[in-house]
Amino acid sequence: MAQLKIVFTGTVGAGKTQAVEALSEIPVLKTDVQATDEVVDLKDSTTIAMDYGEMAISDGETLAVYGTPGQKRFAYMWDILSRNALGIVILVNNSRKDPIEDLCVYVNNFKQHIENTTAVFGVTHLDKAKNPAEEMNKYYTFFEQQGYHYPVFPVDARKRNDVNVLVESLLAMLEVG
Amino acid sequence: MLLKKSGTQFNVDVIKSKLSEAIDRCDVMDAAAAVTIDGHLVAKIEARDCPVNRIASMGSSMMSLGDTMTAELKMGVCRNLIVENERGFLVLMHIRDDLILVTISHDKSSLGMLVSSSKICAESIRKAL
Amino acid sequence: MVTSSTEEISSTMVRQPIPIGVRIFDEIKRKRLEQTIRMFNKLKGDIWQLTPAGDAQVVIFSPEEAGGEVFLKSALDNNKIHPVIYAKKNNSTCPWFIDQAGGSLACMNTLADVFRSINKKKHKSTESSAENKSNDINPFINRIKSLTRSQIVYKNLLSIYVNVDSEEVCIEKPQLNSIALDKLRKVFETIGIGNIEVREISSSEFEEGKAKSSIADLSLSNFFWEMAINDKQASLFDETKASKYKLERWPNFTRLQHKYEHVVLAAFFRRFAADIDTASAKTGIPAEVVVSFLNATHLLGIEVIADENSISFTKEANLTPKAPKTVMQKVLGTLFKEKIH
Repeated sequence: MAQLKIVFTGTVGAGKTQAVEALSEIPVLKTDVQATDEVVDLKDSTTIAMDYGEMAISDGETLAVYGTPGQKRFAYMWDILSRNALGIVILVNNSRKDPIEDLCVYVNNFKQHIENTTAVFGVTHLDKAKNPAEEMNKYYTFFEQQGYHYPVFPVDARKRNDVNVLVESLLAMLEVG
Repeated sequence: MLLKKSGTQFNVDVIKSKLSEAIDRCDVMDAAAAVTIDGHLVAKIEARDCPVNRIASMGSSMMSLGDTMTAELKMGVCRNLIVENERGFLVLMHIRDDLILVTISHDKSSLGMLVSSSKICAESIRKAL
Repeated sequence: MVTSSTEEISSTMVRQPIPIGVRIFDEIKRKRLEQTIRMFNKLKGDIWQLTPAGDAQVVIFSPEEAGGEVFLKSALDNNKIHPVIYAKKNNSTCPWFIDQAGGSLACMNTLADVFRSINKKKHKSTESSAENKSNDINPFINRIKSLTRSQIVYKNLLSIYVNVDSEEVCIEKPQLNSIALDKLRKVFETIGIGNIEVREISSSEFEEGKAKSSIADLSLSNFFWEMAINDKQASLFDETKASKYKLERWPNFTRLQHKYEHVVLAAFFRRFAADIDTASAKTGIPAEVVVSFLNATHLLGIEVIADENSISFTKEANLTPKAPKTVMQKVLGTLFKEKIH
């Protein structure tokens, strides 16, 4: 039987590794290295192949939780990791220059996977914004304009509760079809 | 020429000359590239048409996976990764903590030579930097 | 419990538009309001008919403008006109208020509430049900909204102090926020809105109450959500079984208390427009949960009544899940084994 898995992807510094850590019951296998580019201004290390975590579900089965690298040059990993995934969780770092543009990059790259399964969006780093509610409105309006019915939530990727909501809504989306 | 990213500086000319030396010395080495551990191409030399641009980020992912697997198995330090293909070999190894060497050969009987030449090349770059 | 009505906000029904007038002398504001009313009609069918204020049944006015106070007094005395205040703040007893700074969404929400209230009055006039025992959450919330400071009381079990201006919600006694919230949920779940009293309090009474309360980590809209989502006996805001509903956006479940069934309903109503019975039948979620969910989303201002352009979910259609239900159950079981709702 194919492995059950969900994939966290999204922009650099959006909190993908943290989200995988929040869910995983095992120490997360990381492939993070020290960044040599502008990413160092954002964080100490960056994922370059994948993060891998696991949750035990019933009957000895496990749910695999993968995190992808964020940078576009690792897009081949996005495709490898998302094969046969239950769905894609896309995290967007709102403190970047054009987060909506970032979001579009991921929607386009994962288009086929999203059509076959589903997607859920989490907006992170809203605490850095002057008015987080107004920032969220940007996403709601964008989703409305695009006709996206996918969920988009403000999240703190370090919080298990917030990450749970992302997974929960992913399952609900799958259920509704 | 210095390649300066936010955090790290590389002397590209020195690296390039060392890669060039390696290819000159080793007949079977068709291409060699130095890439940062986070997947940026620093320098490359191609003896024959052998596009390595996209290999840079893939090489760093693979090397990182090699390191992670080695650590998981508690087998010390990952020295190198060898990808054996129908038409040749790909060898990946650390030059130093932040730099990886990727070498390619299309000769099916050249693995030993490719690995040893790559080790010498990595060592010479490490000393020169 | 869902009551049925012969009148509804639905483009499919034939009914008379309600005459509405804008008694605002500031031309820019007046034009903006009129434009919002037209937009409302476009979205929800021809509910309103713009007429001069003198002929209107519903009049939007500003008490800050000349003659505003006098107009309000006469409108409140004369029961035939429904006055709607358009200002920065509502200092009067007028139940309808559009926050000047709230944009067109705030205006549309108030207009929808006014319409429902008028509709209900017509409907109720033919019924003999006792008004003061109504389980409808709508007047209950409107009453809280219309008072600057209020105390919400149920016997000596629950006492909540609300300050609409400062958006403070204080729950008396329990020092722990989680206990306060649990208590609140339990009361709304078991008692029903009809038995809970709302009384106006003074500024000093509010401060006194606040001093002996724990301050709930709730915004006012989230507090309204808490009340509505837990009120299992509520009837629907828009009291019709036939209307099709949809969601304009997802509720923010990272901050709003919920169960998985609410998330499924959000996914369903965000995707399809459907009536309560269809939603209940297709998702397998009881109709009363669907009603409380729609009430709660209405209070957040994200539920709309579907127009003809919405993708409707018909009774014949079935959901086509993208993963086996057993998979969902397994993952959910693990995900929430330690989660406390």
